[in-house]
Amino acid sequence: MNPVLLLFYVFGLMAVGAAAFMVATKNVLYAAFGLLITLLSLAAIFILLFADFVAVAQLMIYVGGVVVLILFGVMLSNQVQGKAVQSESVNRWSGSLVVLTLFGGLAYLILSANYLVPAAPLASAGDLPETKTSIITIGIRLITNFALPFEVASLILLIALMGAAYISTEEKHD
Amino acid sequence: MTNIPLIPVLLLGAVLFCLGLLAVITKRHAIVVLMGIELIFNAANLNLVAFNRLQPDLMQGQIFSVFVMVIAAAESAVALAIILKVYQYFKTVNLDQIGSGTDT
Amino acid sequence: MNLNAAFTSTAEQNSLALWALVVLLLPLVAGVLLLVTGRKLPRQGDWLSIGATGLSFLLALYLFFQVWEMPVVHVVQNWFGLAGAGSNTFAFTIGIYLDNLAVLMLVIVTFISLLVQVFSVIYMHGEWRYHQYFGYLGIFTFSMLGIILADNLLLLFVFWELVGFSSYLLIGFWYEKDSAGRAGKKAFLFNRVGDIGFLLGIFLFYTYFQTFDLVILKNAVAGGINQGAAFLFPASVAGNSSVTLSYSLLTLAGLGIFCGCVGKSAQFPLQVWLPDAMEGPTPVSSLIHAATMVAAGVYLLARCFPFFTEDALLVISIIGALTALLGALAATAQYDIKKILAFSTISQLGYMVMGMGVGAHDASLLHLVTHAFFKASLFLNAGIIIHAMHHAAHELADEHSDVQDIRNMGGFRKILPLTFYAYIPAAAALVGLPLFSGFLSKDAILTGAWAWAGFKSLNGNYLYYLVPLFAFGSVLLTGFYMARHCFYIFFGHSKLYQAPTLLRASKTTETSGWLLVPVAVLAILSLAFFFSFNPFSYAGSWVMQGLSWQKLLFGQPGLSADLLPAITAYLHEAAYISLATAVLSVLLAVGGLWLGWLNYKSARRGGILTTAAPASSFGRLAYHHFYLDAFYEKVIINPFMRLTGRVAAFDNYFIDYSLNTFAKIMVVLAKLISWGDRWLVDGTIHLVVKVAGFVGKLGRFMQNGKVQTYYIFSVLGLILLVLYILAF
Repeated sequence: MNPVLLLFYVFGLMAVGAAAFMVATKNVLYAAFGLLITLLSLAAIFILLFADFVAVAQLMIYVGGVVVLILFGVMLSNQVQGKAVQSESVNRWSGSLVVLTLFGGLAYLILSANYLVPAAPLASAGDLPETKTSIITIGIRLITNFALPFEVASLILLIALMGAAYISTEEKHD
Repeated sequence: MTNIPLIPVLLLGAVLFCLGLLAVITKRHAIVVLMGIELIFNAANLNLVAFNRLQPDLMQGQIFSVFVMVIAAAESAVALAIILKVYQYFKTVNLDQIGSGTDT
Repeated sequence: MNLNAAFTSTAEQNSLALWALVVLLLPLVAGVLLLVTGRKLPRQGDWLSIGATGLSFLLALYLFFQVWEMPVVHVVQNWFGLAGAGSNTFAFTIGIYLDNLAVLMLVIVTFISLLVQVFSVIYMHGEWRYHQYFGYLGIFTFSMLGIILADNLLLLFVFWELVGFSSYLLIGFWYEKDSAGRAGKKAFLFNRVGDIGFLLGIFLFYTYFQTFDLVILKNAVAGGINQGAAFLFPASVAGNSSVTLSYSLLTLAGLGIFCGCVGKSAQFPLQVWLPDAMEGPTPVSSLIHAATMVAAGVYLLARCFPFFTEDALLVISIIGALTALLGALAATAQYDIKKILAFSTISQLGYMVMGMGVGAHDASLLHLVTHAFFKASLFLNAGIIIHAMHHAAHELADEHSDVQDIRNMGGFRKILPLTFYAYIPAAAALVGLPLFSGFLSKDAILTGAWAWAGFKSLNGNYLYYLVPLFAFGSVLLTGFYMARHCFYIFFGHSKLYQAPTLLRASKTTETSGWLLVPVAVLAILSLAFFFSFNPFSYAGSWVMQGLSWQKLLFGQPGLSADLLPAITAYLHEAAYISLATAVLSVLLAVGGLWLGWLNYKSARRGGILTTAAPASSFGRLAYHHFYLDAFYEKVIINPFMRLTGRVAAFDNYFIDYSLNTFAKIMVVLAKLISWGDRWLVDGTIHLVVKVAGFVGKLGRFMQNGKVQTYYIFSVLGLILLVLYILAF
């Protein structure tokens, strides 16, 4: 067994299990922790897929930012008095049905798709230098090929920052 | 470095996407719905990263996954701000009780 | 037959006939108006009916003075024609025939109808079908006038049936009472029995003479040549060819017509309906049983007198005598104030019919006239008494006592003196005391009967004397029962209601003038002076002279051609008969009265004034009217009922069973169809409804305003997209 593949499966299962736990649990805090584990596992998988920069970004943005934000949101939006924050479910059966069908369809598509590039070797040892990180390439691409999206993203971040700040402030009417 | 086949990665992405979707559809708690959305973003990211390796020269997949993360961070910040605002107004974050005012 | 001769009539005759038509139609118009709109008219329209009848009476009087002892008025119109064999048609005529008899009867009927209606104003006061009562009276009067005016047998039969019908309405007027309804039916049905014979008689005459017209028939019959066992009617009188009819056939035809009289005039054996008819209101009894309906039978006999052969007349006289005796006998045992009068009516009608039978045609008609007045008076008198008794019973809230039982009465001579004084002349006339009208007519009939018996028995058969014997016996009995009637009611003391105030309208007035005046008028008309200037001899009576067969039948006695002149001749020889009859009848009447007095005294002493039914076997027999009703019940009604019962059973078990089975099959089919309906048709509809509901629910579900639900559907759309991609 290829150790890399094994690691992939381990982290994959971990991600799926944590995500499933997140969906299944009623406790919102537990769900947040389930999400945290999923995100961590995914970061590991990104590394396995030679996307070290993405994995780092994942750790920083998601684990360090979004999940903390969510935790704060949970805490701020509940009158927690020694009682776990509960989240009930609706549309359980129809939702499950739709989701299962969708998954079936997606899986079938994935399995039966005719990929232009042969699927088996995702990356050949000859194509990519194994020690080389992707950070250099990404950096070059960001300021050359993808300069405009980069700027737009920064603009979006700025707007979102302003928007969030504006929304969160107390309204001072008159 | 050995190869990871494409299809298991895509399947993993599909599973995560579906679980996120399930959370979005079935949960009543707005923040849990938000978590589901994050999960869906991650599934998309996974796919982007996986497909990146089919054309590694341009690094499009990884770059766009970074963009997605940026957007997602912005999105979750705004969404949480909205949720907090809604909470101040309705004293609840239960999606069924918000908006229509009914308690079903 | 030369019909054209009959059509020629002068202008004066035409106008008289028109007036007669007005007399006829006035009561009908009033009656129908009352029946239709009576409830809305003021006083329920009794004034309309009385006014119409009064006008009718005045016109009748006018006609009387125009026609009496004058030439006969006969106006004929074509009624309708029936196509016969070949080219000849049978013409039916309709016409009015006014002779002495008709106009006299017109006056009597309208007069008594008028008085009865006046009487009814108080007597029927407060009746909830007051207007209907007067309407019925109007129709009844109309029918009776129709009988009088009809000039042919067909028309006469039509009105004859109308009388039967309207009498049914009147007798059964209080149909809420079971007995009244039954009495009405009984009267109607017994009349029907007689009418069948009547109809057959009419048919027989029509078959051989091809006409219903009475005048033509009379002429034809008068032209017949007696050939011993048969009559030959030459072509000149019997139409196109001469007709020979056997004697027995003609007798049968005559008896057929007599059957009508038997039914209508309550002769033996059909007389049982009359006592029951007392269930009707008392004024109705007065009208029906004194002047009109029962008189119609005798009137018919007078009209058809030429059609009776000697044998038929013999039967008629025997029946009449028997009826007179039976009626009188039954009357002696009755205790009901009206029933006594009813049986008395039967008895008197027996007299008249017997008079017709023995050839005392004139005397019989005289008796018809006099009887109309005094019997109407007596009935109305009884009406006053019953009214008073009802009043008393009502005051005392007494519901058990029979207010019509004469044993419950007594002493009314002092309480109701005017009623008593009005009663005396009428009762005396009925008994046949001199100076009163009944004496004249009864004497005339008895004389005729005796003369007839004497003439008939010239051949040595003295059985014929039975008829006058019965008649004289009835005189005695009449005295007896009228004495009882009188003494029980007016003498002694009242058992039930002794206080005078109970019976009188008030302390000073005895009873309403509306009641008393008609009675008094009729009582005064019971005196002999009005009918004959010499009250002891009928021979000079203007009525009798006007109604003599010489005048009415133009001296043509018809089939019994030789009988009447022969009797007249016989009477002329044996002049003692007249005197002997007069003396004997008065003696018998007085004797009857005396016996009645004795009976009353012994009854009072014996204290049997309250026993229900007579104790002696004969008394019981008479009380129950010789069990004729029971006899009919057993011999006719019961077998018939059994037959109808079997027919009903057949109906039940066979026809109804089939029907029921059919119905059951239908029900099963219907159940099946309903099942199909419910599950197939309704099911389809319900399915459609369910589907629509489901779609509606789905739509509601899709549009429930929840973002997550919308999201599910958008994902579904995605799945469909995926499927689409997969499929193609």
